Amino acid sequence: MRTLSMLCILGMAASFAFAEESRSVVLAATRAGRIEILDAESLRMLVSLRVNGQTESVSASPDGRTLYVAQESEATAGGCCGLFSLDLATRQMCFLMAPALYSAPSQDGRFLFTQQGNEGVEVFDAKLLTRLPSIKAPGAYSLHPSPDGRWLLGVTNSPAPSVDVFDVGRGVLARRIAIPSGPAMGAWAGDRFYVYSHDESGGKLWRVNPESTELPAAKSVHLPDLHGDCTQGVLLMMAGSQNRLFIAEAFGFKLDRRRACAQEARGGIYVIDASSGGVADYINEAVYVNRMAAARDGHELFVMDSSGPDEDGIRLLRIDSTSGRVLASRESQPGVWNLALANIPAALIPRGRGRTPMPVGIGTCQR
Amino acid sequence: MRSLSLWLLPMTLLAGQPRYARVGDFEGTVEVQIRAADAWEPALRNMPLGELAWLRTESASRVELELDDGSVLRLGGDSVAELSDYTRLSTGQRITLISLDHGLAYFTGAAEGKDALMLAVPGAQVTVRRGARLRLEAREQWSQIAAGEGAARFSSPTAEFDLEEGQMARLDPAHPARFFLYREISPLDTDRWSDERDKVLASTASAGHVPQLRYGVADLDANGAWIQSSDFGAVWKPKVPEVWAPFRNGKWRWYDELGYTWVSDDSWGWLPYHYGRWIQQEGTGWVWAPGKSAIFKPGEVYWLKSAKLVGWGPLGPGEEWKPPAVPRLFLNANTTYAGFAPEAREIDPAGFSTRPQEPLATAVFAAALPSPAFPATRLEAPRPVLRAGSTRIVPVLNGVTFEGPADSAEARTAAPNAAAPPSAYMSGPPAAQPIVIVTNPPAQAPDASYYLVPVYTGIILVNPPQRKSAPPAKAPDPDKPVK
Repeated sequence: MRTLSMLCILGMAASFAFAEESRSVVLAATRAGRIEILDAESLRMLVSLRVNGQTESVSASPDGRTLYVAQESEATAGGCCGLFSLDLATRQMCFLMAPALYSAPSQDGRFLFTQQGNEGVEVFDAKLLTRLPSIKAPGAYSLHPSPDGRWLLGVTNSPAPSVDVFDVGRGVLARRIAIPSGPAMGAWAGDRFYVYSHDESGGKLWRVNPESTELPAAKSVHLPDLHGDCTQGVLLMMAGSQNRLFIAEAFGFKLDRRRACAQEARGGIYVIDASSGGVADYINEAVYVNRMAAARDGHELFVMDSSGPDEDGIRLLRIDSTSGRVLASRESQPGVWNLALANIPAALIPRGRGRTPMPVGIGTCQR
Repeated sequence: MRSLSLWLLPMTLLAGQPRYARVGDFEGTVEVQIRAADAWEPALRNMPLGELAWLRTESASRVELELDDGSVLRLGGDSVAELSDYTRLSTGQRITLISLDHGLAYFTGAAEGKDALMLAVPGAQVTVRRGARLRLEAREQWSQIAAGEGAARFSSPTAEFDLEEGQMARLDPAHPARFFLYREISPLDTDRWSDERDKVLASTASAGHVPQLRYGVADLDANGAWIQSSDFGAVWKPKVPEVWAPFRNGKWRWYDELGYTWVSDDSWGWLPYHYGRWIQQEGTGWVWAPGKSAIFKPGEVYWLKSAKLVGWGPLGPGEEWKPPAVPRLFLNANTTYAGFAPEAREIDPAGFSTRPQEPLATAVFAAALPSPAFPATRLEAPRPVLRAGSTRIVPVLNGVTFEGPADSAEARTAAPNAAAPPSAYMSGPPAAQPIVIVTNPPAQAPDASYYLVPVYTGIILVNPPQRKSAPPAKAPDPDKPVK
């Protein structure tokens, strides 16, 4: 019996020793045709992957072994974009579809979602990289897979604001939840999904239950007057994590209010208590958010900071979402960047290659 | 909206060629509904069916549907099936989903390369990866899938496993948490019909001459012969009367996506009218040169048209004909005529007796015939919801996926009596409530200030109150950063 116990202990020790260690990283993609994998704590570059130009977006599978990249492809020569998978172990890219500008992996790792327009949601088996039947749906969405893998929520503002709830298991549009005011944007905060809309009466926040078409009463979100005397529209973006929502004016796009309305164009990030809609804090007024992602525990934000309305300088910041303190900063090369967070197996991140861009091959792949 | 259209343009240009299936051998009363807006109509042998076509049989009837990848679907009596997804992507990958709403179906086929091939019955579906011969039944109270040969991945809301050869799974769509897995397949009288048809289709000698084409091939064997031509390689000569011309026995049917499409009355009349070209050779007569293209064509002919008459005849191999030039094969004897009226959705030469003696005196060559009008109501025609309407059913809870060997003792026990299954593999929670699909558009009118282009980032534009009704064309694109 003692021998058996020893064997069990040895077996457990061995399994711990061989357990796959993963590393929290920031994925930063630039249209110049590069994906940088950065250490999420220090923002130090771990590896730079050379990909096609026009790189529009990047995301990662939940196991961190595969990246999904929207970039220039043969099918969209000179334009944007085709969707590719990038196997980090083999550095092989597989063409999935064109045109496609972005990807939303389901959080259980089974599926990958994207759109080719406003005629439905395209679905891939994320393990086999084969295409599954499209889900017929009427909108162009920002897509938000649920943490439990059951739902895919699509927020659309055309023809009217709504949250379309897709049942991932059944591959159907299950219900449409009309949002009474708009435009609207959404984010998961923990296992709850929230929709925020802003019109002349101010901000409103709803918690959306994917299993019901009923919306609860809206909670008012009292942001300061966003417009002031400025006649330009305001771009707003939102991220969420745990019980917090983060709302910021977006800068660095064609519409950048710093040009015409420098007085009203406030940088910074509003921290919203998701359950009450109360504005808990306003942090980092000097940061002009271009892209934003919230860490899973809600304590940290990763932000692309746009240097000026007519400059394309960009800084990546790691921010303490409670105090607003900048925990790490990295100057990125000027350009257009996109941002995603991931956990990647440490073994798949090459060591010692530093800043040397690593080429990746493109082929037809099949698992 | 214009931005959206421009964005979608490459997709339109690059989309894969549409796919069509062939209505093959059938007996009894079989009907098809090509599109939701169309009435049910009698099926015709060699009728092309595209995506979303429905097929139904009356009792004691049967029909065979040949798919372009070489797969075959057969329906028994009292059955309804839909070609729910039948797509070819720009990558060449084929997506096929066949839904059996009720009745009996047999399927023989394999998914090649990265093709996706699925069959759905109420409450479950199977994904075919390698070659398989399956039998599907969708009855009022239960659905059943049997793997006669090969294997397929079985999925229901609470289980997923490989259904191996000789196994049969049954479930009650109303209670999908419970299903039965049998070690034997209970035979049906119609099994032999499907088996025999599989043998006929598999043993075709013509396949070697048309390697790029996988359906409608077997009919060439019995109805003609392959001969070598110095100009075109192997060509096929049909067994036809001396006075005969291609595109004569059959009729043109209007398809919204294809235009007028030839539906041949000849039993073999699938491949020779939708691929390759015909040529009349001295001493040999009419032969079909299959060519190398695998792109489905509605029927490549020249058209001759007057006010109330239309005529047509085959174009020769490689011929790029444009009116008013005289087609290479044009002869009055090679031309078939029919009456023509605007808005006709069918052109049938049968019984047309006023054949013109001097056709070029009264008619002119035309590249195509005028299309019937396309009323917008065709886009919105409703259809009843299929019971097998769920396009993908996979387990979503941990611990209910069956990954072990198929003969696991836990998974199944012997079930000698199919009518009253004595044992069951039960797993998972109670079924979820039915999903309600809300398709009504929201009552709220669209606000002109919203972005009409997709903004996948979720970034929204909040206009100041006085500009809320600004035209969308002036709205800046938030997704185009400054360079």
